[in-house]
Amino acid sequence: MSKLLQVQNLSIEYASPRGVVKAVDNVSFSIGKGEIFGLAGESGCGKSTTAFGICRLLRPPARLAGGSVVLDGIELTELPDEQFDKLRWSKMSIVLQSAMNNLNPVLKIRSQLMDAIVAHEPDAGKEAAKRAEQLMRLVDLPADRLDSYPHELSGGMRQRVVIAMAMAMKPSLVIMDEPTTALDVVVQNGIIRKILELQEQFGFSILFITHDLPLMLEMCDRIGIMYAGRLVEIASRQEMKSGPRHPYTQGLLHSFPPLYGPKRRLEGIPGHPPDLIRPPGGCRFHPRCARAMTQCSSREPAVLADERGQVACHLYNEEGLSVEQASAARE
Amino acid sequence: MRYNSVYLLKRLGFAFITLYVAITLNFLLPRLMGGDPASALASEKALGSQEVVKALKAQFGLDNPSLLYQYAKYLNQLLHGNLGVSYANYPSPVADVMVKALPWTFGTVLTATLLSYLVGWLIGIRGAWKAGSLFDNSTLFTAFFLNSVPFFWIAIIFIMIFSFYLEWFPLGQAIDPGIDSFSALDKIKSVLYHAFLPVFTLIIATLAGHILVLRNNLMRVLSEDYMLLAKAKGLSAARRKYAYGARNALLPSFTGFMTSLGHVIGGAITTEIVFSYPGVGLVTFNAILNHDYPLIQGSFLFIAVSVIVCNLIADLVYPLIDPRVALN
Repeated sequence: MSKLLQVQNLSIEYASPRGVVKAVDNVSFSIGKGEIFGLAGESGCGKSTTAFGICRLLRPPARLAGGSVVLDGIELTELPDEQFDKLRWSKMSIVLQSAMNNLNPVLKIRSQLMDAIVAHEPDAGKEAAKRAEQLMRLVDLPADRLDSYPHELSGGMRQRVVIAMAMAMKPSLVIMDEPTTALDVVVQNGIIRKILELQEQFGFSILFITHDLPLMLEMCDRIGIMYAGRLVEIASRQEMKSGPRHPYTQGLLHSFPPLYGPKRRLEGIPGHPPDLIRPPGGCRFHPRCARAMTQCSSREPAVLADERGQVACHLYNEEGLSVEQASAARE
Repeated sequence: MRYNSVYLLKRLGFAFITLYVAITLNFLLPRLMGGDPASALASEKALGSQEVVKALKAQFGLDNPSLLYQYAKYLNQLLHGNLGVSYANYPSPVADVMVKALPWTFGTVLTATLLSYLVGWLIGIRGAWKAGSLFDNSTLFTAFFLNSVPFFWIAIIFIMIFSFYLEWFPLGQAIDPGIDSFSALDKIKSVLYHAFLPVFTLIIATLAGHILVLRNNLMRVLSEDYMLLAKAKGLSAARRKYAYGARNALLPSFTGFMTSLGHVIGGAITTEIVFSYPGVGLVTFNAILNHDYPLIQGSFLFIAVSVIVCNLIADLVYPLIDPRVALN
């Protein structure tokens, strides 16, 4: 699969009165054309910040501290603002959390769908109006809803509008930041189906961000797990289901009750995410890790990349075996 | 039309009730101040005889001590458009005194209010949009400073510097004494010359509030998700700033703006006193000093009606600018 998006060593910092917060620390991953890549982790792990860093929507005091983002062969981090603005929406659009305030409360839906089109094609005029109607049909909303104001729509309908909006310029990448979090389960299901249907139809790639791991296992091709600003594991959906390698991923998966199979005790992960101004040395997860060893607190684990994905943990050596297995193999 | 007749009738009904209450209070309040203006007037004009006092009392409707009688007489007069006769400017009717003062107040206070809001809003928008910039910091600092300085003090300082020492502007009045012999152009010149300092002072005095409120509102709006989405969509800075940002930030200020317009007619008492400017504010102030009930009532009535009308307009216009306001 050819790469659409390549993120290399992305670092993002926040200046705070107490010091610099390393919200995203050396994160690298790539997304293939037409691939759905999930990014998961606890609140505050830096998954949304990573997304905003990619599409240059960081708000001060957050700032890009280093790394590179290549989209379709274009290095985004060095692009001047005016050129970046041209790229926005036409190459990459976003869908934010389905809260009420995704849409401007004083403008009609029509005007909010059309201004995205007209911003990139100033001569679109009448054609933009026609496209707005097509976009509504795309998400199964009647075209007369174009004359509604956001508050006249239900939460689910608003989110459909936002998704329709994201399709306006046929982007190659859609970043979805918790697109269904504020919706009830039934509506959520409908929205996810719609997203998958559109993805099938147009073949765009998705960077899907959520803390809802079961949902992610349902719809993403590959999944990255973030902890305290670092990407600790990337694996395909199948690998994630059959056996994630990082203890944090394992803990995360065990925090959700299984829908099928025997009942089991929910374990969760003891402790709290660390203070990112003074993160723990070595592996950032070690204070909470049940399998922590001596080197975990002193040395940062190297990233091991193999056919199963990649993982950053001292439990796995170069060959992708656990340390116990490796020492057993040596004897 | 975004609203129905029920909404319209409700608002109108509410305005009328408010007006009625205002008129009643307006009748009662001056009478709580005590004093007997008819005797005072009679003695002042050396008309000491009992008959004169009695006749004056009858004319002013004070011959019957029953409040109810006076109230009924007052309402009856109002219905006939009669605001009574001013005690202090006897025998000028209140309406004449008011009509003489109104143009001055309108010219200065309305101009100052409109300019102050316009400039304050523009500065607030720019400050919030470039939050933390030199422009933002310096306007913020100035606004906080102006906001904490008493208004009459600014007015006095301005008079002292610009009128007394520099002699750029007159010390008082709205127009030169020999105005009748002036040409039309000179009249306009004279009016502008006299109005400049009061208008400028009024703007300075109210500007800071408008800057701070709009800046805060816009800062709050800028942190909304739809602003982020607007940026992600690649919308132009102008569209984000005005159609998405300022458009939303101005909504809470609209009612305040309409209320200020309603108060324009009451004049700016402090300014008019300091600048001896013959507007409604000064007339009201003197009326209170003179126990001039009819004039006080007339002036308060003008203010009450204009505030109520402006609020009514605000109620009717608000649903048009904020689609979220329910209309049933």
